Amino acid sequence: MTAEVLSVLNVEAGYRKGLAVLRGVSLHVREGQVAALLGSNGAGKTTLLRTVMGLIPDQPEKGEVVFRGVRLNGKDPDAVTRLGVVLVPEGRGLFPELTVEENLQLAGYARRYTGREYEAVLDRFPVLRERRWQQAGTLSGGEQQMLALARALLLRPSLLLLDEPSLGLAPRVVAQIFDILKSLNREGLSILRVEQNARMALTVAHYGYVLEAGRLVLEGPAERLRDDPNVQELYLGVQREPSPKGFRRWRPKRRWA
Amino acid sequence: MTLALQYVANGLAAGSLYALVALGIVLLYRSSRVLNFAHGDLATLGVFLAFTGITRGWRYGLCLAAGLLGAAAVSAGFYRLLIKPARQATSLSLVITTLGFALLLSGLMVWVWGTDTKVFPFPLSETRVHRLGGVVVSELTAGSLAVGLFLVSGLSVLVQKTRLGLAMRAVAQNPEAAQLLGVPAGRVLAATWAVAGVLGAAAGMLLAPAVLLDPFMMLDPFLKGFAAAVLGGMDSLPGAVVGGLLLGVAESAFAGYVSVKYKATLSFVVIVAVLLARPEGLLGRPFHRRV
Repeated sequence: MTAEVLSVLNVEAGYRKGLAVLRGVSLHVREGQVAALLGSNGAGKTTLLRTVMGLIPDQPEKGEVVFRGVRLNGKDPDAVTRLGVVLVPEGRGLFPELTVEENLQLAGYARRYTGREYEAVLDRFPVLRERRWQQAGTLSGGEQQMLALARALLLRPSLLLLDEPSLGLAPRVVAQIFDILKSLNREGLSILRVEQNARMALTVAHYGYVLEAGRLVLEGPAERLRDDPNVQELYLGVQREPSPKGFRRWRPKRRWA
Repeated sequence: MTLALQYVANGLAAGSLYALVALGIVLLYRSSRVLNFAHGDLATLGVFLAFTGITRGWRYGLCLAAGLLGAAAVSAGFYRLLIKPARQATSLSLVITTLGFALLLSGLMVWVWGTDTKVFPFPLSETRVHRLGGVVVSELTAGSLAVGLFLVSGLSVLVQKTRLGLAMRAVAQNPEAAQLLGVPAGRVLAATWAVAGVLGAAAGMLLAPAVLLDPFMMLDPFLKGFAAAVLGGMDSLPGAVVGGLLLGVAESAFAGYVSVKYKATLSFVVIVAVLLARPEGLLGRPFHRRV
């Protein structure tokens, strides 16, 4: 068993008092592994990532978030980032009016990166080198996602949190980004990814969690989740059990263990 | 023709002060979405701090610097202690907070320095004049224009060319995304407030020799600066400068050709006209209401 990079322990969080979005979620990301967090719309995946980063003021309401033995509760997002937990948020969080170069420079505000680090990151994303002086808002969706990843890498993360990195991208671009993630992980980076698309999420992951209405309903190694009949039916679109007349169930049965 | 040029010259000098005030207002509005009604009183406080030093006979340049720094510190402190902790406040309650702070500051100044007007000693005189062609320019006029332009270009270099400026722009556009890159948004905003304080106090120091120093000295220039900011577009730094200079020239021409008595009214007319005709201002970005 390797050590945990991130532990989320019994976290309850929400945006308004008395309206909990997460109701006692516990999950772990192990050193050097990729964990995938699945769930449908509104399950609380993004809220979980935002709670870890400290983006929701005065949350989590209950429970603890621990990164390598350091308690993250109540820390400002910039402090969490400087500790080495880097989030690429939903919508990528780019500055559309700044140039690609300026977007990258911002990652060096808290801790300057060296020329070698900068070159290494641009070598990974050659297209950004060509587009250096262009406004970030003029990049294509895939290029924007690459810029967001490049910026995150310049922060030298120990743990990368990704909120739907494949959202709205062409399949070929998605494959490209997944290859990058795979090679980053091989180099030792721990990753927690949030996905709606379970098939994609489980192809590049060691361990998976299924979140539903603010509770974890299923967890296990990625292969086991892929073969799990419930996950197959609900998230992978594998059809089983046709009704006597041959119709598909409108609302699939959930059989959580 | 000479007369017209004269009005333009006078207008530009007054306008450069309006531009400085407007820059402070726009800088804060852009980054923290706060209309800072305490901006004028903060500036006056800076002038008073410098004035106290000067009357004690301390080195003149040192006193001016101390006044600027004092205004910067109070401005940053105001953000840190009152604006930042109000995380879930609506923009209206923030505006009221700044109004309250303005009253507090002016009360404090009345208490410490009294309401009688004071002469702020200044190396440039308003009565010594130079003639350029037919246009009469006093030393003070030329000086305020020069200092104003110097500060405006200084600010533009700060915002466009430095690391802090880049962080300021990023925090203004999307504070959350900036924090996710490790940029300490709170500290960057405090720095922005400090810079705004310096701009305001500088405008106050250029104004004090012309209008005499008292705790309510900046009331009128603040409103003019606010009008200039609205005219240029609340979101645009170049707009604040253009708006300030335009308002200065328009005001001086209005006083010359139409009526001196209603000169002060012009800025309010400008606010109303801009809001009716082009609410985003001259250089601002048009608003789109999202439904």
